[in-house]
Amino acid sequence: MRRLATLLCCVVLSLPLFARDEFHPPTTAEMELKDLSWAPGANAVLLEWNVRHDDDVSIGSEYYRIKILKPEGKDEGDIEIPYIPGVAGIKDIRARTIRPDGTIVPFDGKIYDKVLLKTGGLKVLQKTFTLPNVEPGAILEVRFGRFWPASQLNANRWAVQQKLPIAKATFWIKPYHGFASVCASVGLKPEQMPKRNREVYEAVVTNMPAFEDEPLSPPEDEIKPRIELYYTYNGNSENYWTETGKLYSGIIEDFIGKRSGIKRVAEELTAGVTDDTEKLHRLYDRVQKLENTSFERDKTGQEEKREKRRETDHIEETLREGYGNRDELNRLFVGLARGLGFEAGIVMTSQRDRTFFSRKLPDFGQLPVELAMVKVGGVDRYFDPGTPFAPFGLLPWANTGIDGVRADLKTGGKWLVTPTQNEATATTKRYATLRLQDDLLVGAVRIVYDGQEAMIERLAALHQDEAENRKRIEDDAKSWFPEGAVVKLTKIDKATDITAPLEHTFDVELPHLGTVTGSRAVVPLSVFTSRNGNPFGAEKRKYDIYFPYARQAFDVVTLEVPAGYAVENVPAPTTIDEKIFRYGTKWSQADGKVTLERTTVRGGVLIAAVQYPKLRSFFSRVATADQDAVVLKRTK
Amino acid sequence: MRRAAVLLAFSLAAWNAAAGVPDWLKSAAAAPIPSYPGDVRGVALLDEISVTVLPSGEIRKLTRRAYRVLGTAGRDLGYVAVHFDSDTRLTALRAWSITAKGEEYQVKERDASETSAFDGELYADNKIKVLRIPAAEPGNTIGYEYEQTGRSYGLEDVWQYQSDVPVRRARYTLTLPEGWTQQARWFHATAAEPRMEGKSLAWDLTDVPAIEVEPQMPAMEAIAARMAVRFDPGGVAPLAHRTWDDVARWYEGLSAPRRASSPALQSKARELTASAKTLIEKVAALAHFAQNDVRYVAIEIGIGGFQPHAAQDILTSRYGDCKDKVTVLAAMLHEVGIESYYVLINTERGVVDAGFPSHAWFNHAIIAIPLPEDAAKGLQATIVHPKLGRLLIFDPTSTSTAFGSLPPYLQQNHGFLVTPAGGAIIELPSHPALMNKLARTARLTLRPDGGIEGDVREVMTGSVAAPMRATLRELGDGARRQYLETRLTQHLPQSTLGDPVVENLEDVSKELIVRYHISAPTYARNAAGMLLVRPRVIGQKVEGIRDLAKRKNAYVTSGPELHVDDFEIVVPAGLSADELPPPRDITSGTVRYTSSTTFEGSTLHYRRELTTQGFEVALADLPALNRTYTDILSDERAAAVLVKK
Repeated sequence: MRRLATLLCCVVLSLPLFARDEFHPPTTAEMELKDLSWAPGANAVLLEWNVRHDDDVSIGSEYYRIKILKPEGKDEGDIEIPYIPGVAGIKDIRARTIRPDGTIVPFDGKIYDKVLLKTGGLKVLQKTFTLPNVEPGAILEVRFGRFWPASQLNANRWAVQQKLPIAKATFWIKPYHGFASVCASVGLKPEQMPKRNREVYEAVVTNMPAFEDEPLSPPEDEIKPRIELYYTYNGNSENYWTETGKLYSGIIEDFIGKRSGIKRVAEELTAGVTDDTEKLHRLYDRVQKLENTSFERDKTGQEEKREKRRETDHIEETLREGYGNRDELNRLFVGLARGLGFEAGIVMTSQRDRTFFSRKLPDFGQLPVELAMVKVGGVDRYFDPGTPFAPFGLLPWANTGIDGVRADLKTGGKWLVTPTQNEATATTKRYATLRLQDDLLVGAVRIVYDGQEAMIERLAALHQDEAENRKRIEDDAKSWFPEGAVVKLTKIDKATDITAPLEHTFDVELPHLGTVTGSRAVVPLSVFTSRNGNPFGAEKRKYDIYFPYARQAFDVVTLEVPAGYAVENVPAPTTIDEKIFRYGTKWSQADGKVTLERTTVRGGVLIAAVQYPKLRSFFSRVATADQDAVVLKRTK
Repeated sequence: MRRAAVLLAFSLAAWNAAAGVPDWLKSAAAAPIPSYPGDVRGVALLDEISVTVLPSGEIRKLTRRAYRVLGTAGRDLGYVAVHFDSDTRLTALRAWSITAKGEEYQVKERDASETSAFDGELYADNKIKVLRIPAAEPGNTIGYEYEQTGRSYGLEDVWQYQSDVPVRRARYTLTLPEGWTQQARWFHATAAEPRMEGKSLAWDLTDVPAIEVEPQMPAMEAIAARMAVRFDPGGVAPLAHRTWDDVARWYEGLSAPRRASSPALQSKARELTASAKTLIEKVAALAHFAQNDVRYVAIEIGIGGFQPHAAQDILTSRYGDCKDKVTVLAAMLHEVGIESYYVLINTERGVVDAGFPSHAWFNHAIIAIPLPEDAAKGLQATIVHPKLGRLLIFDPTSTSTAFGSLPPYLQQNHGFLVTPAGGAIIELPSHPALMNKLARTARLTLRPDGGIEGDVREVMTGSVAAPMRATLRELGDGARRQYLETRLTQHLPQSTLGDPVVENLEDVSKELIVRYHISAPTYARNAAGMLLVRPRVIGQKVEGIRDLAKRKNAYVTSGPELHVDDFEIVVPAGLSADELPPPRDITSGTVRYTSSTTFEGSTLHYRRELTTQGFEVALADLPALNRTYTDILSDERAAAVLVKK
């Protein structure tokens, strides 16, 4: 696949880089430090972390001092520095421990080279050693140099936030003088961002708290502040995007080209069809029927070689050979659409389950996915026939609502945002008909997946046989129900027919969620959410809340009133409407049955952290309402 | 301490040097197999180990395995992972596959990936080579062979032929030098007799059933069928571990020099015990040092998997692994006049078998310290040895276990006591449930609007306190509060936690106490003039019900524990109890559960006790356990019905 690494070359220079003093004496305040006002209760703190990187001479260094604050911080005495021989080396490791009484214990132990991975020609090693006398109150100091081949000029990334809080970090980054460079940051305050000082980028970050994971956060890469160094065509991000955009647009357009064979096929496929949407549907179906090499099972090199598939150079070959990867199939769809006269093109976009796009970072690797865009009735519509089971016009959620570039040979591309998809595009309907049988709720359950939900389910089953697929589906269903539920899948309907919802049917035996007293039975009916609880237990939140996609769920649970009981009370309906998030229940009784209809709607994807109290309250109220129960009174 | 490598060897003559799929694999692939249920992911057509022992004691071992992949879940069988180190050198590795259509593939050692084997060590010289076999797809046959050569510390081998896939044919052949004999012992299986094949002995087994992997099952090594075999050159043979005394002598030989005295050790021992008035105070002071002031770091190279570092070095650097911690403690105890002993143990209960003396059972080291009877009073972690008298067993690696107690994984477990005079398997005690207690009290008020608020106090000891301590210690103040909040919302989804206080977090000799205030705006539910109140406001005593329909193995519990909840809920004036959850008094084999709900004046009072015994529930007893768990879950959900007077 395409995507150039930002690799160039450089001139060998040899200049001293390391700072004069090997170690820094601690201050009295550092020696006496017991806790941090800005990160209370931390086990250890990076008092100082200095990073130097000089591409002019292809060497760098790191120096850091860690203060151990609590016994649990002692693990910081284990030092592990990974590296890839040939790509970068580690040298001149020096370390020492300053004990709480000020005694200095130099490190004179053995440094091991641990093999993290050795495969083919690649070797990943790790300098590994441990410091002596590590105890609460001690300060650990480590210094080492890095070096890399002068012929190698790589893009570099430094994660500014670490597992320890950082009192002060400094970055001194000198790019190779022969090329233009961009040093950008993500997640840093303006005063912390790298600034150019003559030939060097410098940044100082103070009081950076430790990274702490929170449920339903944006991808970790996105929330951890970082600094990145890139080399560009002329030092200007916009120029980078324009020039690289032209390059990739050229590659794409060369692959699509204007091919009479494609036009002919498109016309044959749509013969007799007058409606534009229907025409595109025919083309879409044809492309999706081709073998999709991006989604085939993982094969070894030998297996791939044995298949003797050759790389195709253009869409006509893709069609002729009958296979292509996701991008190639989407390009084929664009070519077929153009063959019918549609205005169509490719949109390069990012994958927001991994990272969000930032235009500040001149890295085309941020746009790894190609989607098809076709103008229909004056409206730009997006398609992804290169993803199996993607229904016509529906994009995988990771490629929705995210920046992209429409390939364009002349301009290098036009920036846009891929469409967002609302909750109606991802619907789950769950039906349960249950009866009380001793301590169990016994009955049948039917789940109907539509849109995004069906696509996800179908993709999950793509390489599984019946037994493995059954186990996955049953395990998934068990995760909704109370512990101990017995779930037996009895039917899968429309497993691969993307024109219809996917249905799973089960026989279930659920532990009775309620209670039976001398004269009453109290039976909650939110059986599908019995294990949900409140996903947001903590009262405070640092990061934005990130849901993968908008979705809605409709549950209908019917309980047959057992003989000898009458309904004493059904709960009042509940409505919780926070606009983006909505919840409602409706209870009814008729013909000896009680029915709960429950609706949940998640209409948003990214919720700002300031909205967290509201969101937490919503989920709290939902969890509470889900405990509502029908009260049955014994009649005899 | 690193799990002992399972050594041994092979017959060079058996190696098929020709390229392409070897005959043994073709033959295995051609053999018919019975029909298996759809969820069986694969079947081992052949599991063959060939061991050749050389007169020098060097052992060569050839392993051959062939599988038929039956389902897509069996694709993982196509990954071959071989552990090796300086004592078990890998000398060859090859693999093949034959597809259902007859296509053949071959991969060799150079195609493999290599990585360090991570088992908690900072650095160790044991590595893994992973080879991926092409076309490991349903219907295809895959196979591999590898050879290892090296030495066994005890002239022994273990053949574990039962795993999580059924085995059609298992075979073990042994070729010994002239005059050598062998003794085989079988575990979890009926002994099979070998037959002579030329100069070799061969054991052949067919149709070994699979062990189903389940959550909370006993360790695979504790239940899988296997054969251990000792190679005996006869006469005086220092390499052979014929008896436990032999194993003890071997380990004593490795470890005794490491406990050599030094002025620094003497000085440190004196300093640490300077203020100790009694023998037990001296022992406790030194134990505290080894437990807390020697940082756990494992660096194991070669024999370093078994042999500790020198006590003097450990004292200087203040780090070491389990056997190092024991070594520095033993050396300092010696300096104050107390001789102590290593106890080697496996952290998985049920693995050690007294019937086959071997160092290979063990993966952990702890210490036994002789104490006079009066000094041992009140300490749970003691045993009486027929010759050495009262011994305190202590694990300096477990930093969350109080002096005088054992972590749960060591209780009711078997260890190997190493003394200069010999060694023996000892059984470690199990602590009573009362030692591992959670007492939770809540004094709450129900508001007229259905909200509830009040104070909760949790007091934890022993194995109940240990995991909570470990969790809370790792967290900063903010994260600790978040953890407690999240824990609360599992029971009270709409709640606020206030004023959390944690007491005695670092001092494992004291009870761990967690106090907090709770407030939930909507707790009681209105229903047709009734108010439904769940008296069990917080806490869950059982994680769930076992799926007995498929359960094939015993169920491993967290051990003896006592949980007591005592909640008082003051309800608004004018309400009376129309119906209360019925009292419970349930006893199954290992569990006793009682609960009662009363209403007096304006106070709803809920009290329950759960006592669990033992560490394992046999398969036959699981239905009873399930009924008990069902009743407990039902009690936890039960609501009191309050009405206006």
